[in-house]
Amino acid sequence: MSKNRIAGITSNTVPWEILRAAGYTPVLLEDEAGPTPHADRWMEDVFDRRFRVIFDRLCAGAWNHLDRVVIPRTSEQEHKLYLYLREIARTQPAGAIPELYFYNLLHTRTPESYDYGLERTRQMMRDFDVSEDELRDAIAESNRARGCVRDILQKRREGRLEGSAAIEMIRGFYSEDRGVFANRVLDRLKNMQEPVAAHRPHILIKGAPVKDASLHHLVEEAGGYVVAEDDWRGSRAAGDTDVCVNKDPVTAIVEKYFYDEVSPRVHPVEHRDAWFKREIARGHVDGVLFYVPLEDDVQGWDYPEQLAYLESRSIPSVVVRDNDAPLADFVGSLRRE
Amino acid sequence: MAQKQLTSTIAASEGQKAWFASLRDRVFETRAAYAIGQADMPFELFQTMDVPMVSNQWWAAVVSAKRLAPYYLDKLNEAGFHKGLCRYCSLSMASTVLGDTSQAPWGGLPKPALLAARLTCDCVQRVFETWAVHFGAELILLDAPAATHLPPRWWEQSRHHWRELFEDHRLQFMVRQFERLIASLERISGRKFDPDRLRTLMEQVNRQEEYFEEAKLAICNAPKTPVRMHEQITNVMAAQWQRGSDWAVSQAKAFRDEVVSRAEQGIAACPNERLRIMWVGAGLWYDLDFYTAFEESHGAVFVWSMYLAFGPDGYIRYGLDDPLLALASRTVSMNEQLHNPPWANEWIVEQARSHRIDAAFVLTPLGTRPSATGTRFVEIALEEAGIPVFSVHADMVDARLWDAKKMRRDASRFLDQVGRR
Repeated sequence: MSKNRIAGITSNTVPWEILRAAGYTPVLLEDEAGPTPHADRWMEDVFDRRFRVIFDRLCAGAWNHLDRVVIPRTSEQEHKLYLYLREIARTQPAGAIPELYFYNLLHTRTPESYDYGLERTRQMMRDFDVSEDELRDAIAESNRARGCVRDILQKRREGRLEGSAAIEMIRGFYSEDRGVFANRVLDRLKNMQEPVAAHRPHILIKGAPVKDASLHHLVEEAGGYVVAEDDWRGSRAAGDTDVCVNKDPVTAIVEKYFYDEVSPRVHPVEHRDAWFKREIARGHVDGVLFYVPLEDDVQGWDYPEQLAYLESRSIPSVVVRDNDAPLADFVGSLRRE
Repeated sequence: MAQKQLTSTIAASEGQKAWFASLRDRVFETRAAYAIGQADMPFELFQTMDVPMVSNQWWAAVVSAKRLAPYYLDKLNEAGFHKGLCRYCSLSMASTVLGDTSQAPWGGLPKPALLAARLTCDCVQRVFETWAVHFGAELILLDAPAATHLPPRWWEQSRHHWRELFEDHRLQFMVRQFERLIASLERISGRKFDPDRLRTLMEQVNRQEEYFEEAKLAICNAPKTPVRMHEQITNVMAAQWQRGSDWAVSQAKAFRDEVVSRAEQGIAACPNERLRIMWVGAGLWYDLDFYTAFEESHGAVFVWSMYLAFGPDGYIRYGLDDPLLALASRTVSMNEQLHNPPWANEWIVEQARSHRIDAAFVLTPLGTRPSATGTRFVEIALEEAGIPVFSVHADMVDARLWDAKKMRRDASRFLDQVGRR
């Protein structure tokens, strides 16, 4: 881990630990303000803003601090992003786009997909020239950061940390050195002992991934308390478990990323909805906010069944299509004993 | 709609209707098993196991052509599925689950024993999950690892060098998934899978696609196309959904014979042909008249769609000692070949050149993610090759979004410009 190289990653299922063990600092590629002329020329409207920005900045050479970009098979948009970037790299003047790497992790929970993921992960270990000892060190570092994410979530469950603050803190899990992230989080959490959520209705956000804390702020301004979000950038960042340290580290990595990470491609539905239903069953959610913009092509298919599930438990919900929806009526209608 | 000019087109339409009627009879009267599947599934396995399969996209096209899509798509939205969701892959489901399902064409789809899809997008599994729950049918999904080896001119390697072209790890993975699918088909059909039977079928598919290639070459070489595009589609797709069957091979041969004969006799589909047009994308199933709307005014004839051309380039596989592996190679990259860079744009430019195309109409689907990507790359590649492009933003089945008059007006202006070049 001697060289300080930066690897851009596009989502949660790129094995941070392998890149770290290979001497990279992995950094999640984020949305940013500004026009996207390259994306406007090459990409259709079906791509989310964040992927348009990633494509645009990479084509423009604006992110030349990146030594590599690693893209997983975790969503169809990422698959297409990879193909588009490859083609631009092939056909346009050389130099702008960093070396690309595609990680073919699948999410159908079948034995053959698991085996395929294991084989592809072993290939990634070879491609990045990583030893098992180096991987173990990176796993330890990453597990410590996962523990800190869970500490953030615990503070939130205790009503001592606003959802907007929590999601901003968790952002560091994907954008910082995880050792630095862990130290910073521990420092900040020490000072958070005062309750902030007394008698405010607890709201869970579900639906398309949120890009920042603006929806959380909207809920909070309306008097609600965002207790969780079914989102890899929020409550599900660390997953339920750490990477197991008592087995072959590559197998442990695959099991973590295959069984305990969020992807729109997870099948069957029971696995996809397990976290959501478990949170509802805990009884700490007073209302659910479905964030389903019309550009969405995934969550909208799950919504009617999830709505029926909530109605069967008498949990109110609301659908929000954009970040400036009026929420006061919905939040005001919720009661917290 | 323009009159059918080929006897084989009438035979294809009638053959397909008869096939569906016989399917319904078998399912209702003898409780025979059948399946509903995505268009990029390995139909050959179902064929080999004598389990008929209805293509989801074909049925959506039929519903749309019968002007029933708005009714069922409205029902889908009323049920809580928002208007931005994919429609091509969900219309068939809606027609069996929502509203008055007895309105569906030809009596509607009976209950299948199996639903099957390949995950070329993030939403199709959800459509099929909903469907499977409704029918209480078994669901098999095939996952889709991405291609990372994408050499130039794939169509020159796909027939003989498919093992190298499609990456061994992807092929082996697909075969393992096929084995799970075969186990289901064995259970459903009560038959044992026979690899020799599959090999024979694959050889028949090769023969069928060779006939299509001969027809395609006749279209390329004739001064004026002997067959309109939408008649090509009717002939090709009727056979492709039952590919390798005796009926399909014979239908392909009849089509080839008729097209070659017309070319040899100098018979043009449109004697007034002055502009040769290609249609990139799936069809506008609710407005097939669009494809003949500019013949009289501009001499503009649609001569190319992916349906005929992809038959030989996408399906032929030589070297069938391991027929499952060969079938995997046919299935594993269809989305890359047809819709995404670098393969789709390169292939379509090649097709435009060989068909002497004057202008291209490129569809950007509004409601179907798997085929909505890659269209900008196709458009730009065509323009760089000197072929003017008319962008069509529309859905393949959702007529609610289609303004037929405006589209004809805009297309006419575009063709005016092309004609002046």
